[in-house]
Amino acid sequence: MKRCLIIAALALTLVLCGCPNTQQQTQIAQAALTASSTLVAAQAGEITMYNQGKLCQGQPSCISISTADHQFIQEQFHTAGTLVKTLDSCIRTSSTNQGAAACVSTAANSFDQIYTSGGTYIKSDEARKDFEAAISATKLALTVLAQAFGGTAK
Amino acid sequence: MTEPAANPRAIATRLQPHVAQLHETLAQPALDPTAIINLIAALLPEAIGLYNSLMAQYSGPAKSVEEILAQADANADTLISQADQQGLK
Repeated sequence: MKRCLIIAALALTLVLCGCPNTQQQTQIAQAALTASSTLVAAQAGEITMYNQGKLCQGQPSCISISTADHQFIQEQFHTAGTLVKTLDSCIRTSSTNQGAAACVSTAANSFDQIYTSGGTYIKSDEARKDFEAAISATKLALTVLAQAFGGTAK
Repeated sequence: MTEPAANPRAIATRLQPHVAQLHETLAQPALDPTAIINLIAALLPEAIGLYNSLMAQYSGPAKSVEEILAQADANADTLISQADQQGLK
């Protein structure tokens, strides 16, 4: 009987340790949502800016983005979309908060690479500034949560 | 984040001087990394407290993790399809 109780207590401990804290998991999922919402808004802004630039070319204070820059930026948003989907499914399959935080850290580090490639490639100052601001905000939303829950994002 | 009730107005009031100081520091011609890092470190707990407090009060009924991730997935689909519509991939 005593042995059964010890085994039951151990099993309960394992179950409790293995179960992620729901509030923390919600916060981690919310970070993924905040990051993706930031990206969607930035993508829409870039498309608008590109289209407006085509219409106002030659006029003073017209901000024009080259087609090459526009395509590059949209490729990065495409990659970002894939990253968010990978992040979501990683969070879904994580059995612990540390595991979910690690998913977020990995995603945050991938956004670092996107930021760096944008800074290197994008020629239009205005488009590069907006792009870097959007990627920084995305990364910040992920990093703060990842660090709070023990991830290693920098 | 010192008050248990997490009153958003009170947190916002505490956050304001930090934000103003950061704004001022960022406007300097030469960025001082140590000052900026210290300011952000002071500001971040209050900002997260305010975010959590507002989320708790104004985001309506609590959503499940799966509901939140489904929304994030929908955003990711938007990113991919919008990029595709721009003639990519």
